[in-house]
Amino acid sequence: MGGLLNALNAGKTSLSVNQKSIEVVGNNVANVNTPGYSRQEAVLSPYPALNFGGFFIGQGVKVSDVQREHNAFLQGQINDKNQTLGQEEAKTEPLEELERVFSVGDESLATEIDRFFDAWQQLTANPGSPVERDIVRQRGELLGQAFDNLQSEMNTIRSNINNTLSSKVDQVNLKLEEVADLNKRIKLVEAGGNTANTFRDRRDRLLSELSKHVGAKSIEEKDNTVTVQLPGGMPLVQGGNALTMERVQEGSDLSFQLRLNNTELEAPNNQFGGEFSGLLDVRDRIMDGIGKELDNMQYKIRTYVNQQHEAGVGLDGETGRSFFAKAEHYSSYNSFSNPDAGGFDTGDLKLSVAGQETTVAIDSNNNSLQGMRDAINNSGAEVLASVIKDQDSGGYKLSLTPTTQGEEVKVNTSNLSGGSKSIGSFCPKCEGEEQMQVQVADTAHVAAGNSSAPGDNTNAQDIAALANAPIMQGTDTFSGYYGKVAADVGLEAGNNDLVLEGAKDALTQLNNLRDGKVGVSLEEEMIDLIQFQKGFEASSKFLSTVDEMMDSVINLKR
Amino acid sequence: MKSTMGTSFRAMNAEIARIQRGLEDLQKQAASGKKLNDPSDNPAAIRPVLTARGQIRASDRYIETMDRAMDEMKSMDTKMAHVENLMVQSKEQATYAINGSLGEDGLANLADQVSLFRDELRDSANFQVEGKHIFAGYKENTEPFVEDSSQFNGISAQGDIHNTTLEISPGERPPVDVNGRELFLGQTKSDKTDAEGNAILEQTGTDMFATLRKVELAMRGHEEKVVDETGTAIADAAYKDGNPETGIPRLVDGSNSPVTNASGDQIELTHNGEPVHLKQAVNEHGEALTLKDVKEHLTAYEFGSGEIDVDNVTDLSKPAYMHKDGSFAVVDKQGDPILMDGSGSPVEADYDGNGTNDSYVNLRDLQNTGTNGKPLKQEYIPKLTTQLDSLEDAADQERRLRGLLGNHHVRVENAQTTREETKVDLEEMLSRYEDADLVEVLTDLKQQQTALEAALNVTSKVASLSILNFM
Repeated sequence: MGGLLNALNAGKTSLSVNQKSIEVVGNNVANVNTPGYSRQEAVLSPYPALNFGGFFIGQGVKVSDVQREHNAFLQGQINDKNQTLGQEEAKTEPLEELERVFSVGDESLATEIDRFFDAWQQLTANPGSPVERDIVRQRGELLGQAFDNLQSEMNTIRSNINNTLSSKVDQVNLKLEEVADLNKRIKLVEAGGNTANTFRDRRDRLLSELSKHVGAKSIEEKDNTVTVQLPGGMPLVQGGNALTMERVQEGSDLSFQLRLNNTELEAPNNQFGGEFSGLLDVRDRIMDGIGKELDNMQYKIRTYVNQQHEAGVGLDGETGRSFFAKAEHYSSYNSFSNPDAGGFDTGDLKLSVAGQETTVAIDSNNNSLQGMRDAINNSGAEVLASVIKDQDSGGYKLSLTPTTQGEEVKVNTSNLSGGSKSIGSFCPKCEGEEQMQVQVADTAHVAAGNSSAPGDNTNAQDIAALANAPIMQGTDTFSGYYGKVAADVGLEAGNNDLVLEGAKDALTQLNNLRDGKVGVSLEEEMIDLIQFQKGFEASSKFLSTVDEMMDSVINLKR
Repeated sequence: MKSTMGTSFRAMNAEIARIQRGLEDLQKQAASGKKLNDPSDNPAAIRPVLTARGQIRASDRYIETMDRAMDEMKSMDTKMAHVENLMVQSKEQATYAINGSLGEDGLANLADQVSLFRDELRDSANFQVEGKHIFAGYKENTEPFVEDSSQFNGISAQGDIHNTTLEISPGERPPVDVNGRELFLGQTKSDKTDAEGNAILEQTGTDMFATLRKVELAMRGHEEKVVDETGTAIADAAYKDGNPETGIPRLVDGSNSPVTNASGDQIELTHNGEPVHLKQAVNEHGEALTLKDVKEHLTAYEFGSGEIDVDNVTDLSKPAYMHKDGSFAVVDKQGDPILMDGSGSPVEADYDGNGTNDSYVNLRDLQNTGTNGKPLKQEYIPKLTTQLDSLEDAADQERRLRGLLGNHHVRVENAQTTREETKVDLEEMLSRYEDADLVEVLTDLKQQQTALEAALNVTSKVASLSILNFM
């Protein structure tokens, strides 16, 4: 009878083990669509056998553990690709916006530039007409507005990027805290010998998401916690402690710092990966670059058109007027009544532009304001010289504008002498307007000619010719340069498309690989279900057989 | 490796999304007709596209400008044809006057006719198109040839000598008009410049107005006489002793007696054998020049001291005068033009008749002129028969310039044709870069649609296959 009782016990263990296994299968099936879920499996092991008269007889079966299937290599790969995906996905939207702003359609900045110079060309056919003169002014204003609009669109994109970054900070902080929390729980559960399957799944999922957001890297420690770091090495989670990301406003831009209790750590932009690095890359590299190129283009159009316009004469006989408000420039303090009267000191005029020295010889043939202007312009120095009309004194001044925005110009006149008048010193930096605004107020002030005669179109022709001059970097026209800027945007966006597509593909493959290894297959689960069902049925049959045998034993005595 | 529901659906989802993105791209191309919609569609094409668009726009402008220029050239040509007619008609009248046995009244009638031709010539020279004087150079809003009785040709020129140029292709700026000063007055830019570097004008051709005036005066009986700017024969004038036989004007005193030098020789008011005719020097902008403006070209003398530095002239703001041969009149210490002899020395005169020379001969402030301050403007009126050549010269001047205008017209016309052809080429190039090949797009669209249908079909088939159906 003792043997039957033992058999009954063994059958009982089998029943409960099969039930437990079916339970695990049921859980797997229930989580078939749960993202990041790893298939679990009951680990069965026999009870230790007992010695009966020299024979070791098994005592049944038990579920020793429920394990999740896991592949650390694949998980690492997925995190890595998520980082790339996050980076490129984040860039897509601002780049699409930039593509819209730097359009290649019929209405782009290049069109406005063409139209502006076309208006000058139109003026050459009828230089005395106030209508054509006004069109030139209006086209100048529209060109200025086109630059302003581009700038304001760029500012909007910039502010959108800052807002997106800001909104993601809270999301990242919540996830960091949760990882730290899970670290504590996993450590506790697994210290007791159990496996914290669900917690680990959840933590893996969060690490993957953090990798997408900030490119976080993770290392599993011996105590089963993970240490999370930014790609640059700064810590985010250590054991059960999470650092908090904080926003730092720098002017109109956003940067970040990490805080642990009272300690603040500055987190430079190059520390980040994932979406953060994508957004920061668009904001700080791509947009800064484009912004500088736009500024450069606007500056050159302004200064070159101004230089030519200042050399021309309005219908009122006045010369030295700027068409656009002048940018920062360097002018003589002294003003003189006649722009082409000689008698100035002669000798060597020394110019230094951004440290580059040029000596301009002034002699009795060119010792007038206009003579000095032409000598400087022919000297090869990186400045544009003009004779400008000073509104306050009513006289004329020699004015120098660097060909590259912001470069410092120094004028040394100490080697000039012997004339009846001196040009004197130059203002260190005369203030200028940053924006491109038309300054010519009256149509009669538009300098279409080199004389006040209404049919004189020579200066208008020279200004119109600037449209085809290789002024930008010595090789490009203005609208050609816009093409280069738009092509840069296009290349960035095209590259983003390619990398994003690649990252998506790779991630699909990796997720499929992961699912292939550790995911839930309904077919597998159903087959397992049948297997455990059959096991359960067999155990039940075994128990009823033992029951019958016990009945037989009990009924031996009637 | 096993296949799970997740892997199947994820793969199918990715494929469907990819096909749909491709489809969306193709739909955009089909709807817009363009394959270059965003910079990323083809960054390498952006620059050629923008350049081509700019050039097409510039071509439109060039074509419009050239149309306009050709219209103006046509109007100018019509007016110039009329000028030629006037010259031919004047020649006919002159021939009639020579050949016919007309009495004084008949000749006066012909002279009136020629005078009217001169008025008509002035009207033509002041012709306006769209409110602009086409023969005024750059000063298109100024009447270029104003009637002026103080000049022999009866004209005060107000325009400048500039030719309007228009850019017909980058860097190519041909003149698209004929300048009035050159056409009607025979003036051109000399190689001399004023203090500001502007070219000084000289007379190298025929002054049409003066030519007609001479014909008219010859018909009025002044043949082979020297006349002043009013058309009065000097022989008849009170202040100059003109010799009708020789046509040589002489200096006279207040009582109309010839003034002599210390040697008792009469003083002929000629320059290089021609009666002295002074005109104020003018630069290319039509601005009248002073002595200061032309200082470097001047010679000055002080009586008793000989040649002096021009800077020592007391009043350099006085007008600078030129002789008909283009040389500047030499001035005295006061800045007035003086008479020079053939050897280049100032002519001296003994005004008070005391046997010693006491002054240079001032050509601007002649004694007894009654018109103090005016420079001498004398003209010799040749015989009418020899004036036929002058009329022919005037007509030739017109024909030469008209021929030049015609050549410029042809040049502009050719440039326009070339520009139109270039525009077509540019449009073709632009189209190649930015226009979608609709046949290709629609074929691709069909292909993608089929692929999408297949993907959807497979997805639904896979979804309907499940182990659960067999349990």
